[in-house]
Amino acid sequence: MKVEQIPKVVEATDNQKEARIPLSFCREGDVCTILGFEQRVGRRFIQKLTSMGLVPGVEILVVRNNFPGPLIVEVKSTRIVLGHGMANRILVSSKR
Amino acid sequence: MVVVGLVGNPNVGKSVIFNNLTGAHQKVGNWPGVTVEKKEGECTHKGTKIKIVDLPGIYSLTANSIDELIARDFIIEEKPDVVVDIVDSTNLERNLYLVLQLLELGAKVVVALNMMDLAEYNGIKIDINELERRLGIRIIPTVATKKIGMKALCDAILEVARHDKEESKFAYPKDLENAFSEIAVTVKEAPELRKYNPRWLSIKLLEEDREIIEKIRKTKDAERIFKTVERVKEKLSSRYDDLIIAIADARYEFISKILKGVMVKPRKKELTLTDMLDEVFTHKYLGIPIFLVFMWTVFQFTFTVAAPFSDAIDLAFAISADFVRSTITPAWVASLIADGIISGLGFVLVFVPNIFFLFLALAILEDSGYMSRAAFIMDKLMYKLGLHGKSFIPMIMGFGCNVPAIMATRTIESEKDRLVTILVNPLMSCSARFPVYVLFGSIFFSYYVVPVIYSIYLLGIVLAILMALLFRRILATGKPSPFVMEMPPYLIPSAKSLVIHMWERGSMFLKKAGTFIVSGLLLIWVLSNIPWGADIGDTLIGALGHAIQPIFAPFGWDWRIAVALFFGFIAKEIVVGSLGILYNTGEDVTSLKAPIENAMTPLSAYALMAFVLIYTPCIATVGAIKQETGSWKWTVIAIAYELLLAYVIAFLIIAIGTFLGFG
Repeated sequence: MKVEQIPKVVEATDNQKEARIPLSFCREGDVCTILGFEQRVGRRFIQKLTSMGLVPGVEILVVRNNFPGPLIVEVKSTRIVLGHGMANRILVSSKR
Repeated sequence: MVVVGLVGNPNVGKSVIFNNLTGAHQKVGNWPGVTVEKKEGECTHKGTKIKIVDLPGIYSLTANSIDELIARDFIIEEKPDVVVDIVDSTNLERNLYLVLQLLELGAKVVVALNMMDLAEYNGIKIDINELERRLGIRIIPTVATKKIGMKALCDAILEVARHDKEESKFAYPKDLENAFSEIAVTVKEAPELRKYNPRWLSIKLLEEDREIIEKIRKTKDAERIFKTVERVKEKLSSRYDDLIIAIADARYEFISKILKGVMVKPRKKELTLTDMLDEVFTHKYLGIPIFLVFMWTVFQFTFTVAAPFSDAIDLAFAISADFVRSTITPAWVASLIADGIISGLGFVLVFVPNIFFLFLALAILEDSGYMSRAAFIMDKLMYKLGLHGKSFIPMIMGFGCNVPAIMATRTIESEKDRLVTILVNPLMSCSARFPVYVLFGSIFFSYYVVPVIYSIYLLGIVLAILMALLFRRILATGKPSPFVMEMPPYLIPSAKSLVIHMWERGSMFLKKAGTFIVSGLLLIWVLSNIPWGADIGDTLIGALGHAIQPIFAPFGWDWRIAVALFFGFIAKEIVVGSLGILYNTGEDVTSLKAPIENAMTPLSAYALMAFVLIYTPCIATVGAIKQETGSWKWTVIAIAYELLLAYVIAFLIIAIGTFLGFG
């Protein structure tokens, strides 16, 4: 049984690599990997986000998502509030 | 003397370490040109004087906010002997990001690895010796709240101050390093930039740091430097989509490489207290009701706990005024001291317990970490006003005092958002206005005093919302700026830091009482006694009152109220205090009841409470608005709209009230 499940998991991960969704679409409890920022994100905010640990490649946990309100994410063991607008422009791949 | 700059991310216990090191030897001032508080302190360790400058809490040295700019400017311009970076040891990865930037800058860094007890509790193990070796800097484990590691920290400061700086062991990927060198060569040729580290300037140029770009624009070599930067960027564009991200990435990569084998974290994360509390406090539906319950508790706490203290102060002032009146001659000196100073000051100081307890309650909300949760749950509402959650914290603080509240807006990145938040902040009814509500509320609405006062606070909030919408329209800001904010883990606040917090803000009130308010009251006393012995209506103050009273005639306020409102512009505390002088009742607040009751109707009293709510809170707030907006235009607009709005609302209350038959 256990052996059979492994390929399924691998397959799922492969599929999700393709999916680029805005962070605001993630559900609470999702672990996401940041893929990048949309063009509309200002340069200063990219500086701000990166200094707080939100860089492409990093894994984040969605603690709260009060869609269409703000989110709480956990990154590098810190909790950060992100406004809905901001979360719309952070692209992630998500696995549950 | 050794000069030390104290830096660190927000919420790492920096101020606790500062207090531990400097004790009572602190000096609080402002950074030149801005209102951000500058704290300096001194201590002597092993015979050497150490001067410690507390820098604002920051995440990086890219100057995005005033805080970051101040911290950075201090380090690059004033070149402290040592920079102590306080690091949260439960969150090394993110905190080391700032350490690396300090090393890049060429500062001599000592790291205080704070909250070691919490790290241990969470099962995090850190090999400090190995970390020191890999970073090439001194790292001292500390537990600030228990004063552990303070001596070792001072030892390390002195040791590092004596030695020359070691070359940083942190290098970027080859292509980035080459790019830095290429820019550094041209930067070095500019004589104006000689005092800065050229490699650091190159990094900042590629990171598009506005401040540095401006600095270079002013040099003669600007064109050549920018050309080089463009050329280098062009070359790197094939490898990196975005250099800001690439540079940040390189730093984080270096950090994770350094931490490999040095830090061991438990694999499975246990459910922490923060997880559990956040589950409830930030809940989609429970969050707001819980917040309202907390706010209600804050006000209850403030007013019930403070009541006996207020009574005691009231009594003490009444007794001493009586004592002065019965012992001192001549009569006019006794009157000056008893009626002018003691009674006047008594009216104001009666509210000191309220104000201190309110600040204590707000400090508990802030230090425990709840305030940022409140910002989270109110974000959706604030968004509708065109602001975001961060604007909410200054609003709550406005209930205490608008001056620190307006200063607290500096965490808001967008200038326009900040301006709107500042302009509407005075509508949050500060504690100084509370005495006026209590006085008139208890005289005219005895049984309903609490709901009546509550309605005044609500009126302030509603007006703040409407004005925020209006100002956004005027400023044409469109959507609110992006919202990003750290949420610190929940902590049981330490009694010491609560007291310090409460004292820092509460003492501003005392200072105000001692200066503006006393001089205002003295002025009123003098004006109300010239000529001496005349009926108060025939004195100078009577003349002033009669001159401005017609403005307020539609509201049914007599000349005494007009005078009180006039001087209330200096500070709202004066309103109640001056009524005491004007009605010449002396002793205590209760003796004002009869004369005021005869002077107006409940409706005009309610209009008066609304007027006091809305018009300019005090001179100190005006000063704060001027300093924070940096513009006389907006300061004048703030005063003008408040006066106009106060008049219009008072008028509406009278008109609607009369129509409904309350007149």
